[in-house]
Amino acid sequence: MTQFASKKLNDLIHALKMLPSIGPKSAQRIAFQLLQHEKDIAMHLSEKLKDAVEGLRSCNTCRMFADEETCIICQDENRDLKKICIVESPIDVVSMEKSNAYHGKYFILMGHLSPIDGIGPDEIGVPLLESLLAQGQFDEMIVATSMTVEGEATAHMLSVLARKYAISPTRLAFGLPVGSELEYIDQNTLSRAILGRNAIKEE
Amino acid sequence: MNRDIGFILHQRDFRDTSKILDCYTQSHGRFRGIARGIKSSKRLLKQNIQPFQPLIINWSQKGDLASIREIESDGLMISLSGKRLMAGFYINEIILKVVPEDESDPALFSLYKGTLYDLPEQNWVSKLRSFEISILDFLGYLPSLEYEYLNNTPIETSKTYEFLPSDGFRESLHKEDNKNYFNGDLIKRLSNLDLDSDPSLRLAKYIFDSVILSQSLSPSVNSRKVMRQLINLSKEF
Ligand SMILES: [Zn+2]
Repeated sequence: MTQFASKKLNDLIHALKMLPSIGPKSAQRIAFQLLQHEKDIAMHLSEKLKDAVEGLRSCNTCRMFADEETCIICQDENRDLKKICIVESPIDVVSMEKSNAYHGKYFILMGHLSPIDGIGPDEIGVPLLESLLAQGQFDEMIVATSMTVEGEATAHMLSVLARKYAISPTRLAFGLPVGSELEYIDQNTLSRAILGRNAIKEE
Repeated sequence: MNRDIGFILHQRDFRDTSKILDCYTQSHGRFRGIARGIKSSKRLLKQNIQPFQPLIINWSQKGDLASIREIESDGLMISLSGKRLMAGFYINEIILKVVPEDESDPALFSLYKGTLYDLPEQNWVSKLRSFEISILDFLGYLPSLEYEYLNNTPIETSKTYEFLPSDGFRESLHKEDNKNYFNGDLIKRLSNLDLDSDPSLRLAKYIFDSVILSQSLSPSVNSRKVMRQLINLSKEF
């Protein structure tokens, strides 16, 4: 990397480069832009970043980011309290919310089973989830883990857990992307989509 | 540039847009490589970078870490779920931990591949045990299943034997009701990989576990530990 006259500047560029999808070129450009023209924004950003890192905690109930002991979603009594959706990471909650098709509760695993790495149920918060399920309020568990083999293993383990508490386990469907054409769909996706086909509803 | 058919045993993310892949191929054995730019590359599609998916892998080798250039699907993914999927992870971990890197053995590869394709079948547990025994044999750690280790006397169907992990079988005169004592008939059937009964499955598992332990080949097989956690979880009801 190009070294500049100032150590502080070099350190900033180096720190920016750590961010996802920011390469050395972008890091350089952002650093110069902030320091030269946008000092206010830079100061504001550094304060917000510090506040978030220091002040955020994880929700006692669902493990989503929260300002208090429980997160906003868990405090919301207007949600469907009989449904719980299990996701791998906090960002997945954001995606589920954007879908506008789900209004229940969440639980965040912070990962997925990875047997070869020794990551089992205990490592992904299953004991906490189990205590939540044991309270008996849920009738459906929607498993929204990744469509990978690890996600599949995790989903299976969760389905066993759900049945133990008489909760019906469901999993997001393996389907075709909206707007896609069959010709361009890979064979595994198509094969799962055929197996998981749905009845066409009458009007 | 190398090109070979194979499977991915394990993968992990590396930085934002790369993955480190442990690959196992027919003619080049096991190797570790880096797949760069998986978010944008059409040659490295995410749906192909999955264990249990038959692949054609293209890579170049410079130094320790291979550069994986292209991964093509070579057929439908082997469809596994539940315990069979856990068994699949377990088989992958065994290859990952006990097969030396860059040592090619097409017979071992075909055993691996065959076992994966057997997992969806009815008799998958026997196939899994038979895979374990064959792995010991491949590594040269399988004690003789035909002769006693002390005096090379052939094992007889009517006698009872004791198993010592680093040596093999030895006739036992006191027929104790102990899990370490096995009847000769069972041992002979195991030597033909005939694993159709519960006692033979138990013997096979016992041999594998005790040899692996005694040779400290792989002191902790993680996927087995996780499998045990899962079994406990489902046993509770
Ligand atoms: Zn919450």
